[in-house]
Amino acid sequence: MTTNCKALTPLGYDPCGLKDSVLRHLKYTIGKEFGDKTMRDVYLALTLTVRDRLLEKMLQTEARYQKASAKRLYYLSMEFLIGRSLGTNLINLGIFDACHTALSELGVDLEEVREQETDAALGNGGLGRLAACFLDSLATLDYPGFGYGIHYEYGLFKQEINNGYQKEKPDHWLSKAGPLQIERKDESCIIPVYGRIEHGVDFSGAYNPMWMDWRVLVGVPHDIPIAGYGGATVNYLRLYAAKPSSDFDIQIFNAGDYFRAVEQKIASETVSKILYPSDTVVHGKELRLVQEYFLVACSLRDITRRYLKTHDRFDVFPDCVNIQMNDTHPALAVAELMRILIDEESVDWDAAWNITQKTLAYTNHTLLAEALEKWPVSLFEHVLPRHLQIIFEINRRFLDNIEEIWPDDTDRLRRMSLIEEEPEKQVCMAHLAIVGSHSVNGVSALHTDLVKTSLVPDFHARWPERFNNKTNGITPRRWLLKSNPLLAALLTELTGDSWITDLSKLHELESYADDPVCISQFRKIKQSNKERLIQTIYETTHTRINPDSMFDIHAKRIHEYKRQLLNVMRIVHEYLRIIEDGVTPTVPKTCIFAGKAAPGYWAAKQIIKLIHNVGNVINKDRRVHDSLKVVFIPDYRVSLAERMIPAAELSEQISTAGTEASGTGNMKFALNGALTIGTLDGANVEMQEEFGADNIFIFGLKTAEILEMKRAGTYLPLENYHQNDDVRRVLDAFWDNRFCPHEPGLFRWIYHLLLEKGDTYFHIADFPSYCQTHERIAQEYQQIPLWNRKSILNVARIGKFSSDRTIHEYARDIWNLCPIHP
Amino acid sequence: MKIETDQIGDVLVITPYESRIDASSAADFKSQLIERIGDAGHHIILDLSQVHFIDSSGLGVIVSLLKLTAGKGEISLCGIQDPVMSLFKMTRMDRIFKLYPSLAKALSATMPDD
Repeated sequence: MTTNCKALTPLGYDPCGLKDSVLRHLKYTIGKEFGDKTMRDVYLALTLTVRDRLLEKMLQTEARYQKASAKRLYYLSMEFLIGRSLGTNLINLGIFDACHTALSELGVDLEEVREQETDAALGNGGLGRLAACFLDSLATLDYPGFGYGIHYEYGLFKQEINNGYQKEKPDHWLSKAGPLQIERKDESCIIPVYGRIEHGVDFSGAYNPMWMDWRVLVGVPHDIPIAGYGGATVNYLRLYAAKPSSDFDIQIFNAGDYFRAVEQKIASETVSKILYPSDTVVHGKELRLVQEYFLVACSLRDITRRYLKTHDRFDVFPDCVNIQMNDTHPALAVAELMRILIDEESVDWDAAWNITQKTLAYTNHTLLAEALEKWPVSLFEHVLPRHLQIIFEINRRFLDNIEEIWPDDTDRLRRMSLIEEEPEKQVCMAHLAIVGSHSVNGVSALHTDLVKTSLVPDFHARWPERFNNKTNGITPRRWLLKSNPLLAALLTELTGDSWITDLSKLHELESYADDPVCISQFRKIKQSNKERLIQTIYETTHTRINPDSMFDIHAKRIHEYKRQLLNVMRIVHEYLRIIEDGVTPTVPKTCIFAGKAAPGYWAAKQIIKLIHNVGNVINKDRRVHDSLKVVFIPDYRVSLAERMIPAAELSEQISTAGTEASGTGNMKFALNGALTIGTLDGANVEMQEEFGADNIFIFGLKTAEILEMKRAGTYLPLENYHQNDDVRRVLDAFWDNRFCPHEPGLFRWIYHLLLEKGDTYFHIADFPSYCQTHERIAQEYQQIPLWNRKSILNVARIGKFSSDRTIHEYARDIWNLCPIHP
Repeated sequence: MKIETDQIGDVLVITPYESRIDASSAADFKSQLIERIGDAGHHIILDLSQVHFIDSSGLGVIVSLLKLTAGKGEISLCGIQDPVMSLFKMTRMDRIFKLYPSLAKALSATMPDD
């Protein structure tokens, strides 16, 4: 008997069909009668209902790609900060309203069901969220693009606040995750790791390094369908879980050493156990190196396996496959692809190198020296002995080439080597990624310029054509359509719905910038979103907020370079102006912070404590008359961002110029009508170009000025302290324990950091212009038509910052990738 | 571990009947191989058609077999399953053994005159 799939009953996308699916899954998958259901049961049944439809579309998409022999793009990233998926899937499949109706008929509220979903926090911040936005755009634009990552058991830690201090709690998201993902055990792959090289010869007498005494990991893929808007294309995100090659070592088990057998199993599974809770300091951590290798090895095994289904040789591999490395974390792909081609496929070195370079591309995400990955050679040799051999050979050939071009320039060779010799021998992953790629891109115009001129100028001199800019973007589906439905509806009413897939269409909004009706609608929507956030603030911090105050939001990872401290200094300045100078504030303000600090980052954690203590003092001080409030909303994550960003009126993007690669929070806030106060850093520069200088509040030193002051040694924060009364008063308030009367000395580190240790991030230098700009903002906030005109123009001119634009540029300039439309 | 041997002309065919050769069975595998091969010079064919997974200790035993018979005979491998072949390639062990898809092919290559 044959089974014809066409005989299957078609899935319904109308309320009736969806209701039927939910009820069927409730009964036959979950095993509950409708009367016994919990809200969680309905969430599971609805997720399964959606998954059925996603899989149907995913199979159709795959058939379309195969029929077209489509080139494929694989986006390798250690992080995919997906957040919640259900709402996005409903919207992108076009069944949100139908599901709402279906559930209403069952007496269930869809919003309540959606609240059952936990965030998949498989990322730290911007880098991981960018990857998630890119997947949305790839699918929406019908590109054959797939994410490859790690199926972490524990996502980024949950942040709790205890007495103002951050406490980290494990986030075992898998135990609460819905059944969206599909485990593909049949496509598991075997990955060797550790061991040694046995030097020998093969049949022909040629050198044959054999990789011996390795341990084996098994990578089990889990696919999460990624629906593009409109539902025509469903790609997937493939996440690998590490498993042992067998459940237990039976011999050890039989010998009675149950615990050792279990330990071996646990050791293998540890590889995909946790996401490292920092986007910077992971160097020297063996497990992290194994994780990065595990991602790369599993991905490349899968990618080459798929390619070899339709090809016998690797000659045209780069015509069929492109691989984008999201930062240096997957830079081992250079060595692993070379190893596969040379060791497994017997491709000669030159041909293999040509294929590798043409296939791989690298995105740089940071200029911070401490965030550039380097691995000790000794550790590398221990974990990946064969890969180290290959890297040495790549380096030898590369340096030969450099010496040919720049003879007798040993300093240049030292600077460019993939192996740093001092203070200890280390493999420079950024150098490996640059040498092994055909494209190296930064993520904003300023950042790309700094990559070329400051970070790796020698590499730019060697391959100027290899360097290019791809300014980051955000998906308007999640960051407007889903998170701000009221504004989305208004924009659709005014300009039509084509902005959803072409954000530049919002330009049509410009004609409404002075329209009193439009301004009134804008204000009403903002007010409604503020009320929603007020509720969240009360539930999480028990602080009552004035809904007519200006919502000034600073939400992002806590880091010195992002300068939450500068914001606190400005708040303290305004507070002291009220209570000591008798100044009445122009407008009431609510200063809202959110963000996690890396658990080992002392200064960042102290900043969280500082925000809480300053808030405690100000919020309780009756002299302030509720004109200034400070709150810290705990556990910043994607779903909280979706609640906070639509409520923002002022967006704080105040990193020291030359430190933030791009930022994407800045774009999300502007998309939702918040005005930006920011430095000329990252993508703020391009936002100013797009919005017009009148519609963004720029302050502070520029990158070139800071570099020059650093070079000349002319920045003397102590002198500024003595010369500027406001600076002195604020810093003295920290020194005098005004915000820590019961813990004297708690915040004196700020005094030391800024005045004695050189103020690395130029807080004091930028403080006066930051405060002045805030004064100007307060004046303009009072002028309702002016403020809202600027807000509307921000939304109207945000088009460039759609991740759709970014992905089109990657596809055109780097991947040579074509969309495969239905 | 169950291992069968079969003498076909001048060729000793060794067939392990074990789907998995790993740290728990490698020592037994090695001692049985040494015992069966003895000192005699042989053409040896190791038929791995029943083996679906070998870890590095199992592969180490096979490499030691090569050293054991150095100068005294030849070793060929046959019937290697895909996952095992993948490991042979990954570690470049495919370059030091003669590999044949089946026992019949290995025998005809080893005994071309028959």
